[in-house]
Amino acid sequence: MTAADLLVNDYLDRLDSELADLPRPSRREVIEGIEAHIAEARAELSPGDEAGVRNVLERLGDPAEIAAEARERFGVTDPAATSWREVGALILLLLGGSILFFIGWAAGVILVWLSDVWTRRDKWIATLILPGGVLGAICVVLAGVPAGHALLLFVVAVAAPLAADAYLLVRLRARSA
Amino acid sequence: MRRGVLQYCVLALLADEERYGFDLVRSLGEVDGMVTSEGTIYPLLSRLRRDGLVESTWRESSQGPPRRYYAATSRGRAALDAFTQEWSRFRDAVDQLIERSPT
Repeated sequence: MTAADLLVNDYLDRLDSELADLPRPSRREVIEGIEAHIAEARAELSPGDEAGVRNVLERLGDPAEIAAEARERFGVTDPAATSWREVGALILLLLGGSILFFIGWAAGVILVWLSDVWTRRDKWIATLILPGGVLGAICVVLAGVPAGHALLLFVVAVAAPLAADAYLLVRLRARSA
Repeated sequence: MRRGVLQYCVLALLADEERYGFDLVRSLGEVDGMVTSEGTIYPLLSRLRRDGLVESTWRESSQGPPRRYYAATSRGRAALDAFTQEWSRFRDAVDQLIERSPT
C-alpha cells in the first residue's frame, strides 16, 4: 500500500465516521460518490503521486464539512443538538397529568409539536394516545370502574400511553443516533 | 445564497445531458466561486435524487469500474424553469439597485 493509498483510506474512514448519524442509504450513496470521485481523479495522476492525491482530497474538503452539508440536506439533526426539549416533552406527556390539572401534559404536547425531530404522524400519536398521561389514567381507575372493564381500561389508560411514549423515544433515538 | 442556488446550477448542467459525478463536479469547479468544497456536491446530488429531480443510471466505463450517471428528470427541468424566471427577475432588480450611478 502506497502513501497515497493510506491518505485515501484515512480520508474515507474519517468521512465514514463523520457520517455515522445519517440514514444508511444516504450515507452509502455519499461515500460511494466520493470514493468514485477519488478513483476518477487518481486515474489522471501517475500511480505514486502523493502530492496529487493530497490536492484531490483538499479540493473535496474536510470530511466534517461534507457531513455537515449532508446533515442539512437530509434534515438530520446534529446529535449534540437533540436537546432536553424532546426528553422533557416525553416526561411531561407521561407524568405531566398530575401537575396542575393536566397543564404539565399540555406543555408536553406543545413541546412535541415545537420539535422538528418527530414527523407529523408521531406528533398526532403523542397528542391522541396520551391524554392525561399515566397518572391521569390512574385517577380514572381509582374513581371506580366495574371490574369486568378493568383490564380494558388498563390497556387503554396505562399500557397505551407507556407504549406510545416508548415509541416516541425509539423514533427520537432513530433520528438522532 | 450560493448554497440555495447551487442545486439549480446542478440541474442546469444535467438538463440536456447526463454526467457522472466527477465530470459534474469538475464542470462546477471550473466556474469561479461556485464550489468551495467539491465533496459537498455529493450530498446535494443524493438529495436531488431522493426528491425525484434527478435520476441516475449505472453505465459501463471503457476506463475502469461502472459509473453512476445523473440526469435531470422532467420534474427537475420544471423546477429549473421556475427558478430561471425567478432568478432573472431577481437579478434585474438587484442590478437596477446596485448599478444606479451616484449623482
